[in-house]
Amino acid sequence: MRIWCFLQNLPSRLQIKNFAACNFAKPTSCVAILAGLGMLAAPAALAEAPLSQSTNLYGATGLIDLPSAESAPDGNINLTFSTFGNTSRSTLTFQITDRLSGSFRYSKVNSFMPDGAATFDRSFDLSYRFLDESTYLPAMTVGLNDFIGTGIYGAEYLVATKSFGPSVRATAGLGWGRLGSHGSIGSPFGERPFIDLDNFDEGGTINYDQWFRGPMAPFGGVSWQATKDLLLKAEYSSDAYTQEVARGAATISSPWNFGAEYKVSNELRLAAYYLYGEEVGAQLTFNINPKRPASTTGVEIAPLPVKSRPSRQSNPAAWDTSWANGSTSQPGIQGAIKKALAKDGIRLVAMSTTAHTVDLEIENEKYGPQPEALGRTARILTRAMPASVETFVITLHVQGMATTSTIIKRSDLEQLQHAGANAILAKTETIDAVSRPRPHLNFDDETYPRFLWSIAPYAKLSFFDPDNPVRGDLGVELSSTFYLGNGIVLSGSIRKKIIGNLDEATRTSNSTLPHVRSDQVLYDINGDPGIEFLTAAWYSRPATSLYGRVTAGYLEEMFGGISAEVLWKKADKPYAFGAEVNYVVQRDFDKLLGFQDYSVATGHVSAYYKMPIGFHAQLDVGRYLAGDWGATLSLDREFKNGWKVGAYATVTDVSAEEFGEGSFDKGIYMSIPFDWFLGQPTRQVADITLQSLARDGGAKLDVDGRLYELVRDTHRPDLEDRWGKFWR
Amino acid sequence: MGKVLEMRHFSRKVTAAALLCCSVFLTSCGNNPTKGQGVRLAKDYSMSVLGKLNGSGGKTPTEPTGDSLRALDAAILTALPGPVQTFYAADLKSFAALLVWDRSHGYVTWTSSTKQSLTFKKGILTATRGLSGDLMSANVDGPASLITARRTGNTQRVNRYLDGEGVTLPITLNCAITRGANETYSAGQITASTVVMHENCTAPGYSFENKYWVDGSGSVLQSHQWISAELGYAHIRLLRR
Repeated sequence: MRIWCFLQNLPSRLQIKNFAACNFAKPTSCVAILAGLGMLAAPAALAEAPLSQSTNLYGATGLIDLPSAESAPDGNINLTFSTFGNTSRSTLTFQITDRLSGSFRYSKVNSFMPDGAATFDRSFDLSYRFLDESTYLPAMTVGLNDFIGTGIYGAEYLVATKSFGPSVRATAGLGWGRLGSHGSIGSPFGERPFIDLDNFDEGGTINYDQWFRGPMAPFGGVSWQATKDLLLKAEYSSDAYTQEVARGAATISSPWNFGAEYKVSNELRLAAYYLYGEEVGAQLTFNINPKRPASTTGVEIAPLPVKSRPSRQSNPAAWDTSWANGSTSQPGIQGAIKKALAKDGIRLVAMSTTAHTVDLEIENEKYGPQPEALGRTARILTRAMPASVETFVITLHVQGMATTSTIIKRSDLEQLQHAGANAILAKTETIDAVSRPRPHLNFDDETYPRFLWSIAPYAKLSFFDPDNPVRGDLGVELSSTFYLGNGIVLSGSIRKKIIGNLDEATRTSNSTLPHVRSDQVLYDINGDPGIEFLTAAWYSRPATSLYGRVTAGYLEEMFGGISAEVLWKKADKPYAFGAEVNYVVQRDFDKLLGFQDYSVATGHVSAYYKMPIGFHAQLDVGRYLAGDWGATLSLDREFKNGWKVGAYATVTDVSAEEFGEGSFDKGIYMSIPFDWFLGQPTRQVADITLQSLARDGGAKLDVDGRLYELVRDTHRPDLEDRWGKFWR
Repeated sequence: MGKVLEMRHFSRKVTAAALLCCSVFLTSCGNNPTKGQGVRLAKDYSMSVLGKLNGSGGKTPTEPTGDSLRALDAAILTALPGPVQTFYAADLKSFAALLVWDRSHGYVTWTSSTKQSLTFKKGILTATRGLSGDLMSANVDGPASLITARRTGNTQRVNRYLDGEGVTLPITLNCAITRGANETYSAGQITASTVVMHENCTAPGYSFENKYWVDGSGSVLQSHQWISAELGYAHIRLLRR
C-alpha cells in the first residue's frame, strides 16, 4: 500500500560544488556559505509595493499562518524554520522578481499517520502581486500553495493589504482548499476534486484541476510595527487543520492567532506565536539578498593607474618605432608584463608585438568579473609598452582555449580612466579570438606544462531522509590538475571521509528503473576513500564560434566512460547551441577503478539563452542515464554579481509510476560567488543543487567542464554585465 | 616605513557569521589559486568577524592629535621623500601616509604602503581603490572651480559607485559651496593662511558636507571629504608640497 508520506523515499541530495568558471574543479566544499552571509543596509523601498521582510509559518511573506499581499524586496532569500504543536516547517523562499515569489518547503507533522508516526511532506508555492498599493486601493496578490506537491498544503488565495499610516497594515483575503476550510461562505467555482491522502498516486504533478475549487472562506489580520524592530500581528484564520484534527495531530479551539516578531538584525528574525487557542509556536528566519554583498567594490589592492604617454611633439624619441625591429627588447617587455600581471593574479599565456599593436593572451585566475582582469591588464600595458603601441588586444584563455579578444585603444584608456566604466565600454570591441589571425605568439614557457594541487576540506549533505532529515559527511579532498598545453588537462580527486553519517541511511532503492542514481547510499557506504573523478580532457577551438571538449576516464562518482561535446557560441550573442554524446558504464560502489555491468549511451542537444531581463533559460533534449528520452528546462534568475537562483524540471518517457514518488525530476539550485560574501577577489563559486527527490528517471551525467559555463563569462554579454569593475 | 603607514581595512560589520565559523577549523593548502581559496578566505573572514564580535578590535587607531600628531608628522616626513599627505578615516579607523603615485590630465593619484589609492583633482577626491565601498570615479569640475577660487555658489557633482550587483551607479548631487572662516593651516612643512570652504551636497538618499582649507593660490591644504556610504568621511592633510 502506498501511503502518502514519504516512507519509501530515498533521500535527496544537496550537492555543493566549488568551481571557478574557468576551472576544472570537482566537488569540494564548505557548507558555511549557506548562512554566513554578510549584509549591508537594506535597499530603499519601492514606491508603491508594500515591502516586508516578515515571514509567516509557511516561510512566505505574510501574517502568522496566513499570507498577505506584501512582498519581500526583489531578490530576497529567506530560510525559515517554524514549529508549533506537532507541525514543523522548513522553507526556502525566493523573491523571484519584484512581484513573483516562490517557496520550497519541507514539513513534518508528528502523530499524523494511522500508526501514530510522523509524516513528511515537500511543497512548492508561488505568489504574484498583481496590484500595487495606491492612495485608495490596496496591494493585491494571488497565490498557489503546494501546487505540485501531494496536496496536503494545497490552497489558493486572493489577498489584499493596505497600509494605514507608516506602521499599521491590514490584510483581508479569500482562501480555497486548506484556506477555505474554516468559515466557508460557499463554493463559487464548483466542487474540489477529492484527494485521498492515504492512497494517492505518485504526486508531484501540477494539480490545476483543484485550483480555486471547493469551499471559499474569508481570512484577515493586522500587523503593527510597534518599534523599529518589533512587529506585532493578529489574524483570523480560515484554515481548520481538518486533516490534522481528524487524525489527532492537532487541536483547534479558536480561529484567532497572535504573534510578535523581533528583528535581531537584517539577517535574522525571531518570532513567537499563540495559535488556534491551543499552541505556542516559534520561528527563526535567516535572510539574505544577493543585492547586498559584503563589499560593493571589494577590498583588493588598488590597480596601477593608467600611465599617460608624453605628447609626440614634446618627446618624439619616446614614439620611435625602431624598438619593434630588433628581437632584443620584446623578451624584456614580456618579462616585465608577466611579473606585473602575476602580482595582480593574472597569468601571461602568450604575447606578440608590432610597432603599433600588442597581442596579450592571459588567464584570469583571480577576479570573479573578467572585466576587472581586462582593466588591470590594460593598465599594466600602458606602463610597459613603448609609446608607439596604440592598440591593445587582450585575449582571455580558459582551459587552454583562447575564447575572446577585447580590443582597446590606448588613447581611450588615457582619456577615460577618470570617467565612468560605460565610457570605455563603448570604445571597446570583443571578438572571437579565433576569428583574427594571431601570428608570432611567444608563449610563456611556464604556462605549460603546469601542475596544480590542493588539499581541502569538503562537506556533503543529504536532506529529507525521514529517518534523519539532515545527514552529512565531512572529510578531506586531494585534487590535482596537470595542464599539458594545447588544451589537454589531466585531473583527479580523491576523498577521505573523516566524520559523518551518510552511510547510516538504511533505505534502499525500490526503483524499477536501472539504479543510475538511487543507489547513492551504497556509494556512501562503500566508497570511502573513493576516487571522485579521474579524467583526461581535451579542450579545443575547431573554428570561429565553435568550442570542443572530449573527456575520458572516471567522469563522476557513479559513471566512467567517454564524453564529447561541441558548443556553438558567437562572442557577442546572448544565445548558444550545443550537443553532447557520452558512452558511460556504471562504476563499482567502492568508487575505485572497477565497473558494474550497466552501460548506456546518453547525451543531449542544448539551447542556451541569456534573456535581457536578468533571466537565463536552458533547454536540453536527449537521452538520460536510465536510457529514458526527454527534456530538461532550467530557468535562472541571474544577478550581475554572479549569483544565480534557478529551478529545473525534467520530463522523460518514464511514466510517473515507474519514476516513483514525485512523478518526474525537478529541483532548485543556487550559485553563490565567494567574493560576494568575502569581499576578496576569487573566482570560486559554490553551486548548490537541491533535488526534490533523487530518483533514476531524467538523471543526467555529471561530467565536469561543460563548455557553455566555462566560456560564457568571457563573451560580450557577460562582460557588459560586469563591466562596472573594469576600473577596479 | 613603519606600522604607522599601514592603511588597515576592517571588515564591514557582519552579524550573520553563524555557520561560517565551521571553516575556522578547516584549512587548505596547495598551489592551485582557484581552489581551496574560498576556505582560506572564509577562515580569514570568520576570524575578522569573530575578532569584531569579541571586541578585540583594540588595535584600531583613533585619530592622533596634538603632540603625538606632530611627532607622527615629523617621523613621516623623515621617512618619506617628496610630496606627502596623511589620510584618516574614522569609520575605517585607519591612518595612512600617502605618496604621489601618478599624475595625469590634472588628476593626482596617491597611494599608501599597502596599495590603497586615492585620486584627487585640484585637491577634491575623485576616486578611491582598495578600501571596500570605493568611490569609483567622480566629476567634480563644478565644485573644484568654485572651491579653488574660494567663491560661493551652487553647482553639481557626479559621484560614481558600484551597486550591490557591481553595476555602475552614478549619483548626481546638487552642491552649495560657501566661504567660511579664515584659518591658519600649519602641519609638517606647511604653514599658510587659508579660507575654509564648505561644500554641502545632497541627492535623494545622499547628503554630506565637505570642508576644504584653501590657500591664496587655490591649493587645498587640508580637507574633510565624504567618500561613500560604506566608508564615511576622510580627513586629508598635506605635509609637504
